[in-house]
This record gives sequence, structure tokens and C-alpha cells, in this order.
Amino acid sequence: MRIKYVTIPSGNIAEAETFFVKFLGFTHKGELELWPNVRCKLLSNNDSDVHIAIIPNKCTLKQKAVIIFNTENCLQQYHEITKNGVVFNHKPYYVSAGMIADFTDKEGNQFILLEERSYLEE
Amino acid sequence: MENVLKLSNENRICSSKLTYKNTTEVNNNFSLHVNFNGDEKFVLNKKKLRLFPHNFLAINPGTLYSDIIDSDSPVQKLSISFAKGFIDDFKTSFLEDDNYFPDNYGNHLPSQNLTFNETIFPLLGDLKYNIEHLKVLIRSNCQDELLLNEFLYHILLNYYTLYQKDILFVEESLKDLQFATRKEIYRRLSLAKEYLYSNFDQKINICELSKYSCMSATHLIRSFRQAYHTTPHQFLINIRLQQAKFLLKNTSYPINNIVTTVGLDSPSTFIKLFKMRYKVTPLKYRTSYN
Repeated sequence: MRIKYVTIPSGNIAEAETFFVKFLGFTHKGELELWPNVRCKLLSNNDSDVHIAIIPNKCTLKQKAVIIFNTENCLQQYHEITKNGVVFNHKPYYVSAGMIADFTDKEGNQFILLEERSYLEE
Repeated sequence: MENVLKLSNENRICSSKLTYKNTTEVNNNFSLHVNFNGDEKFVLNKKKLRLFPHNFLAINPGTLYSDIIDSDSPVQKLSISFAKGFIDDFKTSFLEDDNYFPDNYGNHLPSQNLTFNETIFPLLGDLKYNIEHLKVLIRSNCQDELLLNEFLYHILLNYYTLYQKDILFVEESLKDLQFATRKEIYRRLSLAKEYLYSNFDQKINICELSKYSCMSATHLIRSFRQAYHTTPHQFLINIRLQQAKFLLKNTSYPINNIVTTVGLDSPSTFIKLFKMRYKVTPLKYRTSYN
């Protein structure tokens, strides 16, 4: 399990994206659907494996931070973390990016396990 | 080598690597069979089927079936048998309004009449990923029943979602027909697809295919096109190209061998079709994986 995305909440995604691209030299890396019907813009610089994910502000009203962990096997990771006593917000579920499970800590920070899956070859 | 894991709720997972097998038995529970690298024959009642990689076979409870492997190289397979109680629990959790899932997210397809279709399906999407994960867990001798059952639940969910999507797609395409007619056409078209998945490496003529699917040739082609927006011939070509892609990626067979193995006539036709479908030549595709 490793950190894959650092989220930046924004009330104006287009403006935030322009800021990262024009002023900080980031490049577009696509989009990611993390919640139903909510798409985040992905940006990175220097071919880094860790991406910036610009997320709509409304999703984070109750969260201080959203940390996205990349995992090879979401169900297994979910199972192992659950065994340690963590209660997830949902059972693992499917989005167009792959499989997701998320939990929130006492401070209100949200942690997402994401197993990215490619459906392109089909 | 055969490794059978029987869970305390009567679910059973069998992972095997065999060059020979010939068993006949009545299938007690609903089961799924996946073959990772070879050619496996099944006889379901009187129906003769062949299972290749990229496909899986669903068998209903009560079906008398034979499972036959006769191969020079070991055939790796995974069979999952779902206990009746587990299926009942799945049906209950599926039909009730489960608030664990976020709304509108495809994890929950409404159905008042949960039935399974005994046929061959392509191994796609989340089902493929979850089956691969389960295969790794079994190989690593995982004994954690909670985790294994979690995977089995998702595999059942993925299978049912795939099956429902197929039905809904056909129903939408044939919406002008009456319900009973649509249902019957879906059943017959499933037979046609099953025949194509089973015999793609052979010369297939439309008369055999239409006889197997209990439709006239004209009716079959028209209904197939209407339901799946493609012809049986194009569908067959896609299966052949998928299998060729698998062989290019996972074996070192020469292109000429691959062409005949997947039932195509000439290498030049194969290269043309492959490039049209995947925007890359077979050789470049193979090189990208080596």
C-alpha cells in the first residue's frame, strides 16, 4: 500500500487546474472517478508516480484531508485493515477506475484504498 | 496436482494443474469453471462444450456433467462451487435494499427473479480481476475463510452483474418484441454464442450454428445483429482475435501456428484483422510484452 494521489480541494476545478499547469508546470494525466459521478482532475510533474488530484470542494466539507492509497488487491487490504479494528464507511465497491473502499479517522480525515483496474482491453 | 479447499459453509474451491482428467458427476451446487491456459471439454447433459482461456463456464445445480482434460501440457483451472445456503444469502442481500453501497452505483441491479444461465461467458472486467486474485490466494495456501468468502461473494456478484448486463442489453435491443419472445430469442442467441466460444478454432458454417441454436439461418443472423449490433461472423472474428492476443502475449508460438490455432485461414488476413481491431500489428503487440 502506498500513497498515490494527493488531493487538492477546489471550488473551481478549472481555475485550480490552470494554476497547476500554467504556473507550476504540471501536466494533465487524465481523470479519475472516486465517488459516483464525481470526477477528479489528475496532474503530475517530473513523471512522478504521485499525482495531484483536484477534487470538488463540496465532497470535502466534512473532511480535513483525503488520502488515497494505491493497492494491488483492495478486497484483501480491506479485509486486513478491518481485522485491525478499522470500520469502513462502505463495503468495497466498484467505480470506473476500479475498486474502492474508504474509511474516516476520528479527526474526519478520509482514507481511500484504490485498486486501479484497466477495462480497456475489453 | 489438484488442491481442493472446502470451506465450513460448504463452498468449495478447486485449483488444479492437470494433463488428464475424465470425471462425470451430478453438479450439486451452482459452479463456475475457469481455464487459464488450455483446452478443456465439458459435456453438460448431452451438450458438448469446449472451454478456452478468457472464457468461463457456469453450471447449474442438478446438471449431469463430464469434465475432460487430455493435453500434452498441464491445464491450469479453477472451479468454484457455491453452496446453496451461500447462494440463498446472496439472493437475500441482493434483493433487499442494501444501504452499504452508494446509490446508483451498479453494485445493485434490481431483480425479482434471480436465475443463472448455464453457458459460456467471456471472462471480463471485475470478474477477471477477482478470479485472478483468488487464484493467487489459493496458490499461497490462504486458509482465511472470511477473506475467501468475501472473494466468492464478489465473484458471484460480478458473474450476476455480467449476466444481467447481457440480458438487459438484448432486452433493450429487442424491446419491440413481446416479453416471452424476447426471452426465447435470448436463450437461442446464448446457444449461438456458446457454440462460437466453443468452436472458434474450427471451420464454422452458418447451417451448423443455426441448427445448434434452433433458429433458421436468416432468423439467427437477423436476431443476432438486432440483439448484439454485430453479425455472428464478426462476433466469431472477435473471439478469434481475443484468443490470438492471448497466445501472442502468453506463448512463443510462431504467428503461423497462432493463425491456425484460432481457426483463421491465412496470416495476411490475420495481420490485417488484428491491426484493424487493435491498431497495432501482432508482432509489435507481442514485442511490447517481451
